[in-house]
Amino acid sequence: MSEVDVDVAVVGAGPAGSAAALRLAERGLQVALVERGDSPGSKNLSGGVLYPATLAAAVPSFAADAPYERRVVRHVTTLLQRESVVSLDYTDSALGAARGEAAAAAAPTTAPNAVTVLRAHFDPWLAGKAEEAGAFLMPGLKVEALATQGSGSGTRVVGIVSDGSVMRAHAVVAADGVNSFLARGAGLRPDPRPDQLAVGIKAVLRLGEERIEDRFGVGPGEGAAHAIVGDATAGVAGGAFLYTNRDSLSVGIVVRLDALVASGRTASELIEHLLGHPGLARYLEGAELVEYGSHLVAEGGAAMVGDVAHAGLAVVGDAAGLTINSGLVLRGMDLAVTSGLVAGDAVADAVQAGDTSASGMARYAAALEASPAMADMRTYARTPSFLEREGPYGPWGQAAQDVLRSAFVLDGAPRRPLRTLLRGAARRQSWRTWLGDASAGWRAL
Amino acid sequence: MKVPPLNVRLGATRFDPDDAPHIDASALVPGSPEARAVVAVCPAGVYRETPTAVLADAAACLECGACLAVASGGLRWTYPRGSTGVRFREG
Ligand SMILES: Cc1cc2nc3c(=O)[nH]c(=O)nc-3n(C[C@H](O)[C@H](O)[C@H](O)COP(=O)(O)OP(=O)(O)OC[C@H]3O[C@@H](n4cnc5c(N)ncnc54)[C@H](O)[C@@H]3O)c2cc1C
Ligand code: SF4
Repeated sequence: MSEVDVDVAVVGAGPAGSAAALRLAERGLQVALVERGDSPGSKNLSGGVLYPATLAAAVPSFAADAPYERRVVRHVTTLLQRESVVSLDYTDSALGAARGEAAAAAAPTTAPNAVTVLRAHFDPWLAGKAEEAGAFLMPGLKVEALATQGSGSGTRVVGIVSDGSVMRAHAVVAADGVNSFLARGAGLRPDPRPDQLAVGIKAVLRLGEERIEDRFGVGPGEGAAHAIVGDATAGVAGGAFLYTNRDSLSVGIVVRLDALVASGRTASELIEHLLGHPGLARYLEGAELVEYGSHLVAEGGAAMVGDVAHAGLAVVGDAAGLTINSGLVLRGMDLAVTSGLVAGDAVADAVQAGDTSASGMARYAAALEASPAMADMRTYARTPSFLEREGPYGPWGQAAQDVLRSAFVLDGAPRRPLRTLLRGAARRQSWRTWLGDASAGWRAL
Repeated sequence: MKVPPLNVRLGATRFDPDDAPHIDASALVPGSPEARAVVAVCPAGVYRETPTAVLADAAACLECGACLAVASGGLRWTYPRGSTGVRFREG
């Protein structure tokens, strides 16, 4: 093999890149982990619910030293209307909810099912694990482009270009996030369409630990995750989230770009609509905004993943479109970790076999295809088209409000039986809406 | 809650500005669908249409990339130089 500066250059110290660098270093390779932010996480933002099983298996000290905020023991799904709030509130011992005071006092020794994280605190920890394993972290360095030889289908990635100089490597792992500029710049990935992307806009609101535990009905160390649809986004296709951190809340919206443009509203208006919504006042009142940010979400589902392995290149995490938005849960961090670990092993195999050609790197594509991450991507493959339906954004919430109002608002008129109420609410929407939503929902879930 | 206006929200976020702006909107035509789209999707209010030009205040950019995705090629937008631009302290 030709002269190189490092065995593998990993671009991006998000969960995908740090997981890849960790695994590559553990396999004895010389790895550079290049990050444009001054420190890992300083450019990164998410809603913040991490499902850590895969990560905890790769980093056994997770339960002991990962800087997560709270373990999620309560998942609330809410249909928000201007005047009403209808929620499904789920707690379960399977979520690790403490039973009684003794349980609450005991610190967990295994990784919880789900935790909340703030990326500026979490990403440096994971990058640090890669460094401990021997990866060389290079923060504050923006990679301009992939260094390539050949063209078209014969393109071979031979390194990365930064500050005008080339760092040569047997292979590059592109973990550069949803914009995926590196692979796109080399002509190895298509530009995403606006209907495959959503913009996430988020505020972090300081509220204090006690008020959080009171308002969200959770104990110390425990947290809640609220997924909200309907008037949360003023009816624009998408949803909102409200998650508890240790002493702050992560609250924001995720709206599809094509729907946002078509709506005639602005992104700034929509986040203001959410933060000022009367239905959320009981949670947000008195909180102080400490940060405002935005980030894109890949929403193209399995169809967006495409070719993830090329001669000298593996594409992982958001850069490969690996995100699931099922309407109830938004997942990307765990898929980023899984793809990073899978790529780390496959690329180590390829480098150690002395073959990082297209066929050598195809190991990664095959291993990703066989991984639980891709299995879940396929399971939720139809969800994007389900989320295109208008049902979740208006009619469902309206119908729930109609039925519950008729049942609980007593105005002196005689009550009607519940089945009549349900039929009445259903009739107010076209039968096409219901039948279409039901069959799309069935196929999606 | 009392909703903080955009300038107050942006004031809470830390930026380390780059002296060389990373956005060039000079090819966008005011009033065109692309210009309307970038104004609509930008959560930071970076873009402003005047009768003759689309102006970009790159210093407030949160680096999401939403504008680029809806501009159909009419925008030059890259990440700012390493270590400059937005610096999330929470994320
Ligand atoms: C509003 C919102 C809410 C979300 N909620 C959740 C959630 O609750 N749960 C969940 O699991 N997922 C969630 N996600 C998705 C999740 O954030 C992503 O899927 C995840 O961060 C992907 O990890 P990654 O490592 O692939 O990419 P990223 O985390 O984006 O990391 C990419 C890294 O590459 C660096 N980089 C990029 N380009 C260059 C370059 N040219 N040179 C050097 N460095 C570069 C960046 O600075 C960054 O550090 C959410 C996303 C958003 C926007
Ligand atoms: S990247 Fe995001 S914040 Fe920056 S100008 Fe574009 S839309 Fe606005």
